[in-house]
Amino acid sequence: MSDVINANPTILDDKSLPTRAEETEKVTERSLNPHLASLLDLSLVDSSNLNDQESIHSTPSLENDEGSDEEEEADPIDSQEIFDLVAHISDPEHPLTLGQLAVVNLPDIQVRDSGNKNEMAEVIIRITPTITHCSLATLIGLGIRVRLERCLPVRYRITILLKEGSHQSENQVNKQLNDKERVAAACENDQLLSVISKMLATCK
Amino acid sequence: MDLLQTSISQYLANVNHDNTKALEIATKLASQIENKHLKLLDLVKSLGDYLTADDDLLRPKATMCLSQTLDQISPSGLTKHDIQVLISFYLSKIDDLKSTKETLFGIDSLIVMNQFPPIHIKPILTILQDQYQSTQHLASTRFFTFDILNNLFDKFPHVVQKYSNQFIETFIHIASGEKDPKNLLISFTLNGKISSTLQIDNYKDDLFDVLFCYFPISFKPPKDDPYKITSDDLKNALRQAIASNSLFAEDSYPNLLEKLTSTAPIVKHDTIKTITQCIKNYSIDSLIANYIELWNALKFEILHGDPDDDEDELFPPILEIFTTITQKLESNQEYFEKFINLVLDELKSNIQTLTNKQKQSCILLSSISSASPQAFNKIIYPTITLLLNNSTLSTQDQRSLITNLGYFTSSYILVFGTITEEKNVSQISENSLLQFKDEILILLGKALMSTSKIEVALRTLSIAELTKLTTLLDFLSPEEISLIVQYFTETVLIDDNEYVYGAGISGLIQIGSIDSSILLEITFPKLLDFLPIDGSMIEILIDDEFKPRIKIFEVLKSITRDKQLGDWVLEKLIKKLSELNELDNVYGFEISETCLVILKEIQRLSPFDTDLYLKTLYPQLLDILDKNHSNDEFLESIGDLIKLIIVYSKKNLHQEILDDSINKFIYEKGLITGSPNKLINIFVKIIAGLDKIVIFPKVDEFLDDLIKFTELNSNELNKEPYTKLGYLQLISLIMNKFISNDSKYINYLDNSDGISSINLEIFTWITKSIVLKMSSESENYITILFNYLSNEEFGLIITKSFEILVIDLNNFEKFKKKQNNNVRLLYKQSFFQIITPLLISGFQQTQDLKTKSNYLTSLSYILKHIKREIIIPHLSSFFPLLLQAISLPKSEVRYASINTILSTIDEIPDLVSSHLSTLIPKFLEMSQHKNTRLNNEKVRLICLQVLEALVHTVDITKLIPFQERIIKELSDVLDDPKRSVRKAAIDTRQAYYELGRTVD
Repeated sequence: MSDVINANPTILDDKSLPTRAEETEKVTERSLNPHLASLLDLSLVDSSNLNDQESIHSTPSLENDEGSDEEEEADPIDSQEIFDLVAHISDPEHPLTLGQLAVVNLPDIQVRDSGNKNEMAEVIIRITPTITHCSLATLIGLGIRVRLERCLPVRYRITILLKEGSHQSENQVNKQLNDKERVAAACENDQLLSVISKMLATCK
Repeated sequence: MDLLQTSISQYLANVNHDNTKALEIATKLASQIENKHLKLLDLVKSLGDYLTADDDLLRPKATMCLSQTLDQISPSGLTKHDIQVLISFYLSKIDDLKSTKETLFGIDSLIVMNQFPPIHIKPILTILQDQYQSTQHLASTRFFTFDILNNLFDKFPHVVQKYSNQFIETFIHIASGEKDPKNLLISFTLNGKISSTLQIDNYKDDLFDVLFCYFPISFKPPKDDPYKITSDDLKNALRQAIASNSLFAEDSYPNLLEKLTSTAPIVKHDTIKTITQCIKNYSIDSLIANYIELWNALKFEILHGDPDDDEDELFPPILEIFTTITQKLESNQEYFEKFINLVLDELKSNIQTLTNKQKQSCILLSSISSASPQAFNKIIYPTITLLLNNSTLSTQDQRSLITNLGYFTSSYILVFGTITEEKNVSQISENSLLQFKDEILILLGKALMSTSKIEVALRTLSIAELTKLTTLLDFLSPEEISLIVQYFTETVLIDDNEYVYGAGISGLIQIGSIDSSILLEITFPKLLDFLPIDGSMIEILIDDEFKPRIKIFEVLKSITRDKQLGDWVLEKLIKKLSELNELDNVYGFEISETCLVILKEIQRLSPFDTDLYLKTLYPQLLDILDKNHSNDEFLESIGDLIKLIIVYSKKNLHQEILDDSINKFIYEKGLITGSPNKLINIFVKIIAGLDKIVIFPKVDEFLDDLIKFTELNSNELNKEPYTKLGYLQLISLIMNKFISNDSKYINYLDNSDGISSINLEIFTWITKSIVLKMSSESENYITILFNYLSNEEFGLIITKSFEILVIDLNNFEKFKKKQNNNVRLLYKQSFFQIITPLLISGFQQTQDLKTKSNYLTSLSYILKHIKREIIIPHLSSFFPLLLQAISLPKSEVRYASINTILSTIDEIPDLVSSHLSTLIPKFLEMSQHKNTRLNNEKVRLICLQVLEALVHTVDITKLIPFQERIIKELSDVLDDPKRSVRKAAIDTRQAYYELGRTVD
């Protein structure tokens, strides 16, 4: 690793990486003045219950929170979420992240998930090594795999491929990266695991 | 006599064993001698045999007894004769190697005596020179030789002058080979004194060698250093000594420059500082002889360095050397010019073309130009001419050109000063940067106004540089500053990039801080012109682009920072408010919030009286409210503005305001006689702002009426919480400010007809007023409220009362230096101390789950508003409560208690780690996506956060047993429907994966 093969890669600004747009809060008239909102909260009697005369004095029952599940709006796992998981992995030879080096790109991530927790789901990532003879492509791929296996539910199948035409020995690397046995064997290697730990240390 | 013998024996027994005791005896003997109770002769006689004893252990002890006694005698305590006899005795003993230390100590003590005859100086020097070998003695012994010379030098400068050669020789003799830090410190100081006062021509080499052999010092004081000598003490002493005499120059400069090639930053820094010191102290002639050498050696440090990556911070001190050389050479015009020309000649080629040394060269030249006006003018003309030579520039080139020009404007500031901080320069008339002013302005203006918005760095840079130009003393004309203000105003309006916008705003603030009338003339009218006529336009068209109108308010809030600007803006904005129709509440709210922020900010920066606003703005605001008070936000915000105007006005006007307001609101509008009216909130604001010195007429009756009115109208009020809270706050404020009988309402709830929620609310707000005062009645009121927590009917709703007691409301804000209410600074502490024991014991005593939950809920309401520092001392006492609270079937309570654990986990690692086996399974269970009404997103999230926080606080050995379980059980959480929960689970799992694994 001492010999840097690609000494001068193109670097993207960390800020220009795709991010999830800040979920904009709906501006309602009530939230204009947060102080007033907290003041209005101080009424001991909840005015919204007033139509129901009986509820003025009967306090909300304690068992209220038990029982039926509340309907929560689900946020499905999408490609942006996967991107956020892997984009901040450090490159093993540059002090930069995979996102900055454009090794992983948002359009190259596919997620197939029916949303049903009992069905299999799949993530396919196509990575672009910085140069076509990059010898560290397998290491990078392994790093991504370890990260995703730690971060995704077990029902997900993870496929990591090199982007078509981005590497001299594309098929060979693809095979290696998606071979369960070989990945498991690699993770037994303590030295390799500590290199990967270092790569994952920058994850946000 | 016997007594003396006893003392001596005791001394001999104690010395070297219990030295404090020995010192005590010596001090006693000394005072006896001074009081003439004891003759010195007797002491010597009694010691006599010991002093000459053959026993090598006893002899030094006896000598020590004599020396230490002498040391304790005041300088006037001995006669000339005594001293002479003693000196001869000591001098004869110097060859007694076993007691050299004690002997030298004795001599040293005698030298400081008033009557010490100078005639003995020469013999002392001779003996030290001939019969004393420093290598044979310990550091503590060698110390006395330095101290003797030092005392001689200080006390007898003329005699030392006379025997200067011998003195210097003796010094060199004793100083050679010294290595004890304490002794070296004296050695350096003494060397410095010698070199700067005596004739050292013949000894300069030896004196220099005895110094420079220690350079650079890399001394680390031992942990238990009794002398507290730091590395810096030694370095400074050595540096002073090396720089003490110009004669050292021929040796010091070459040697120092050689040390400069070291790669250790510490050595470099030390060397650079020493060179600077030498240049400052040595004569001009020695600089003339050496400046070329210095230049050649030092320029490389700069030219081959990287100013943007100066990790060791070598640039500033090296540049200071150049400034120092220039300043020093200025006393010799011939060499001054030679030096400047040398520098210019050498660096010319670097500047002419864009080389990788251009920046370094500019930095170097700027440091020289900052030495004096003359140097500035000599450097600027040729340099700037070369810099501005290139006509067509890429963005990159423009950026470096502006950066480079910036170095010289910084020199300008150092030489001539800024508008606010003038340097005393006599002839500012000549200033060669002035002739480039137009070119520079055009360059910067172009970089800002005609480059694409994408060029953030260039635009930000040119704003910063333009801002700097406006501060230069006697540089820009008012017209030119106006032009810059125009640039900035346009920029902040059209550019949304945070850097460019931020730079533009700080530019405007900077210019406004010197002369705000320029902003008033250009920026403010322009901003106000963009404000839409009514609230229907949320966006406004600026320069062909739509921008949200709120942007105008943001700019106004940021740049209105003095009274002159404030007066103008507030007047215009409030006029605007009065023109709005009733439907423009949001717009109106934005405007009044802007006014609020501006008024607060100006008051914060420099407080001023708002008496004038009371006459102008205050009635206008009341008129606006008469027309339009349908919207609560709008009403509240105008009310706050009214309150601020009252708070900041002189208090002698307040009585009139109160009387008028009572007339207007209570009598005319019938706020407590008619039906409930939300305008009560405005009356509350006025009361909140008034000084408490005003007299509220018939206040007791008024408060009773007010309470009765609130009770009677409770049904209607419950539908209008804002109005209700207005009445309740008014009760609280009046109780706090105008009623001195704190126990007036203590029995308010003792009503035979039973009570309703409105009574509890009223009582809560009365309690708040009492708690804020920190009245002695507080505990009684709080206890009554506390008892209601176990009440079947009201227990749950009363929990909220405890939030009311401690929440910070702006109607109860105490203003600095104003007496607008009786709110004590430490009321929360005092409240917390009363309530915590009540809650804890109540919790332990009751078996009723509902009541338990009420206690916890109220505790969590309280904790929400109390700072950690207040909580922490009580933490261990209510930690068990929190543990139970986690399991209570109420998500709010769960969240509150877990949150308390999380926010205090750093302070209580032991407490937490002793409960790991219950806590971890509990948190793991609650983080699962099950029973989500109870374990909602907030609860799940915070459980995960606590689990992660454990990694950083709890001892790793205690956590390892849970590691696998946590990783395994959290894998289900990775499929949580909520993204935030998934993310937290990922982070927590990652933390446990890495637990115990060291990443190098």
